[in-house]
Amino acid sequence: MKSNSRLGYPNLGLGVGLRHVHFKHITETWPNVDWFEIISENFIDSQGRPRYILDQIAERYPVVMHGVSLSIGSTDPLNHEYLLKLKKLSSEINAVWISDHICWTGVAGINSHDLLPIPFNEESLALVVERIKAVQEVLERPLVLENPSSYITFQDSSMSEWEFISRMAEEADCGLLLDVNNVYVSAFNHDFDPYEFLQSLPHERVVQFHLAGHLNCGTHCIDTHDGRVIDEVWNLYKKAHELTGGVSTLLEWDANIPPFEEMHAEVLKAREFLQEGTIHQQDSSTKNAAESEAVPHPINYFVGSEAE
Amino acid sequence: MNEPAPRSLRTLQQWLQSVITHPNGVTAGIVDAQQAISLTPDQIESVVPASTQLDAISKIEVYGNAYYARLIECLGEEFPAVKAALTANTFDSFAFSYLQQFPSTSYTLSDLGGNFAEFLDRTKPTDAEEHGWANFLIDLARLEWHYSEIFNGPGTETIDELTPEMLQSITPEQFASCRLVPAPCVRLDQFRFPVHEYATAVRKKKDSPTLPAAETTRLVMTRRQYIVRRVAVSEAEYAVLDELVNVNNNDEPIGSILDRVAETWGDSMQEHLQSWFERWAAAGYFIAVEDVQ
Repeated sequence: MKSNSRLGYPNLGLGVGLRHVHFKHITETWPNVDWFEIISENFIDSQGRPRYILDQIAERYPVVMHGVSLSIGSTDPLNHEYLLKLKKLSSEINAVWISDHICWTGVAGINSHDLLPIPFNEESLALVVERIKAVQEVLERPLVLENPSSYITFQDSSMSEWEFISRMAEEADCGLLLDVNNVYVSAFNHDFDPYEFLQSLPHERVVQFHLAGHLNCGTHCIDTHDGRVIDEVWNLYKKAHELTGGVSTLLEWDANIPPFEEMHAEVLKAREFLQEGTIHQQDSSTKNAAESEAVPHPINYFVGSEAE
Repeated sequence: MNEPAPRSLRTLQQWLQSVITHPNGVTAGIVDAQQAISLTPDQIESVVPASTQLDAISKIEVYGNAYYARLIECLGEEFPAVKAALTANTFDSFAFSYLQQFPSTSYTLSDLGGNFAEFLDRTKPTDAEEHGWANFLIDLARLEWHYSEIFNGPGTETIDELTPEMLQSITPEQFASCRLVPAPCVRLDQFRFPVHEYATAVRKKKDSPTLPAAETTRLVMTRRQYIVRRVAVSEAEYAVLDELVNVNNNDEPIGSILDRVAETWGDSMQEHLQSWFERWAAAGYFIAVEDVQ
């Protein structure tokens, strides 16, 4: 029995991000996975194999749509064509909810395809709240928004990230996707206490957790999604679980993607960790910069490329 | 340090975007972005504070370095054969220039490479000896873009195609009053090289496939069971099929089109027409016969 609804959204259990390299495995074995999260932009225009695969998966598993181009914090107008496509796909695959990031991706018509940070102040808060309301009106459902990893802050900020997110969620009446790894990365990069971040959120609005690996460059961390979840992030996850009562949890792995079973096993560690308070993993140490190229939000996070 | 003037969110966003997308790096971007926010690189902390372990410029460079790296990687996945032909470093250099001329304006990276073949054509060397090589790359990019569009575009997997039997049963009266409805995934294009063979060799991960000699190549491309297919056809077959698929696909009946094309391709056409139709039906190039409007 899954419980702990948030804004009416259910606890789906432990899921993984759907990545094209796993299409064959999934459709041949139909693994015992609680749910999948898709990158919305990889499917909203597809009339080919990706959509064919998604339709089969959506018949068998709960699917959540996670976008990277909503650009809720941009001063450019909202893209209504894009919103209507999100709505259409969510209806067709019966998506349980639709999420994106508290960020902007571009301005003046350009899309940088990065999750760029917002200065946390009254002007940006008013803009974001107004736009969330507009999006929710189109989608006819509560939007769920994620705290991104960030590498800079602004002198223009007048409040903390957690205050901004809390006020945003309350004023716009939206849900939150709490990316625990992003909290760790941003806390490292901006010298704040990740536990204060977790403690300060409106926990009843947290609909989902994200877990992922990152790269520690010594002077800063980069959200690379290319490896295992480190122990410090598992500890944050445990705290977030306590504070929220537990919500849907998803593992993201977007570079150096391992075989499906290995990726799935990583998120299943959440159950082990919550029950035993520890995880038996071969390599739980922080990944250092020499092991990987440091590209935040790697390409598989943005595009499901496919060549046959 | 001078206190910065109050700035709007839009000003800050325009400034950051121009800084992180500057082709010469973040420091050059800060200098060039002074119209949005007037500051020099040593004043950067009036906009972006340093952390205890990293200075402000280095922090912004995380975004600056990722911008081109991510999009160049995306183009490399979209155009694997062009990348193989150019070698990775040269491809990255072309892609870097391309992104400056054609930054993404779409919510999806699937659109990013839409102007790449045009870009290569526009920037090809004027030296005549280099034309052959440049033309090969341009055609290869065009082919790979066709593949991407066909792969993700509309197909016939969930609709009935015109079977060979249905095609053979078209009556003379229908030839005079009906048109063939092409499958939405059918594309025809002519190339100056057999680029499809090179692209296939690259996608099958053959090491360093040989660059082909120039040879006019006419391809019909489509998609069956979600896989992109292509076949090289003769000049006559291409001409007839092109007329049926593209040139006059709304208001001219089949018979009229064939009569017109026969003026140029009469002998070849008459000799092969039946086998062509059988092959086209088997390949699913058409989905219906319908009355001309």
